[in-house]
Amino acid sequence: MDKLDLSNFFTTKYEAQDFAERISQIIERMYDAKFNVEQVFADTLSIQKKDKFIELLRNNSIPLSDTSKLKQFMNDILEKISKIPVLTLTIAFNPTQETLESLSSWCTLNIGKQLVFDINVDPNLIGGAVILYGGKYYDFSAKPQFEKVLEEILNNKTTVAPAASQNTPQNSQPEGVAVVANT
Amino acid sequence: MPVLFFQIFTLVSDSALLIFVIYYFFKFRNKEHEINIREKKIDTDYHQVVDTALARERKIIDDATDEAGQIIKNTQYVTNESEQAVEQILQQIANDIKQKASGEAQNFTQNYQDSLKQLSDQSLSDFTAVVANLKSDLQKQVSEFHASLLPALEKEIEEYKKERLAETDKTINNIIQKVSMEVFNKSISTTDHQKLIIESLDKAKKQGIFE
Repeated sequence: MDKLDLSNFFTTKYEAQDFAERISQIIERMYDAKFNVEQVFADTLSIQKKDKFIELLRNNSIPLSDTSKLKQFMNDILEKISKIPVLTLTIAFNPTQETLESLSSWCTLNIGKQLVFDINVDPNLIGGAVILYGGKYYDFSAKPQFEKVLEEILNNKTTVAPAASQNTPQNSQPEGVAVVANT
Repeated sequence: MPVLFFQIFTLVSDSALLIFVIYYFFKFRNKEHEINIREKKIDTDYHQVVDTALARERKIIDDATDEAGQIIKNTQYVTNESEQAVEQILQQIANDIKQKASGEAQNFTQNYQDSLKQLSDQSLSDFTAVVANLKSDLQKQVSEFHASLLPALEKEIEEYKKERLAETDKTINNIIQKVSMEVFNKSISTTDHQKLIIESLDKAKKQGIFE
């Protein structure tokens, strides 16, 4: 597990960019003669993130009084953010912060590294997700299966696949249709 | 002595002069008297001539006035007569014109009615012929239409009908699909959505997407 865990600070690509921008602002203010680290953290970060950031510094043994180490650590954070892989997810609903944190936790636990999500919302997917990662595209949404079932019904086909007919929206298990795309 | 002579001479000469002057004085006086008489005579004659002339003048003027009055009287009489005659003539002319105009108008109306009747008869005849031709052409065209165009048209209509029905079916299917998707989407709770996404990620992991 990576020691520099930033999953508490951002989950999405947009949040990561915003956080990196704030860190850059802190680095810039370090050149000020009247630099006060507590004050700068309070001005730049929210109260919750400020406490988490101070805890992160403590976990990484970075004293607040040592400006040079602090600056080095900030640059490490920026480098780390730039290297975090982006997982593009197309999902059927607007995710809450809780959902994003849950997904982020899943990534940390199951992949062993932090990912940032680039979320797109497409209600036509019904459920599940379309995943784009590392140039690979996977459609695990309910849309293809639903379209297949609907087509069968509309074409007056009497024999509908039992698995498809038993799948209700709540407990459907969307089959992934993997398509490898070169991006 | 010479003085006496001189005196006598002077006296004689003065006397002669005095006599001469007196003589001419009387002579002039006579002449003046004669002139006055003549003048009186001339004046008398003049007045007599003038009076005579004036009397004649008056007489001439009176005669002329009488003559003019007579002429004016005669003229007025002639004028009244002329006016009456002219009025009578004009009245007669007007009556003639009126009678002639009435006759001409009746003639014209009659001619016009006759021409119109003739024309309408002719037009009706022509129109009947045209209608007959038109009817014949139409029957011919209808026959041709039934023979050639109608089957092709029916075929086109059938194809168009099928095409439209197919489009309608497609539209209905799209609507059903969109509505169903939306209904299904809304019927899934956030927790279930989250679970489905996690399951998708699990499947992706199993397929080695994150390696």
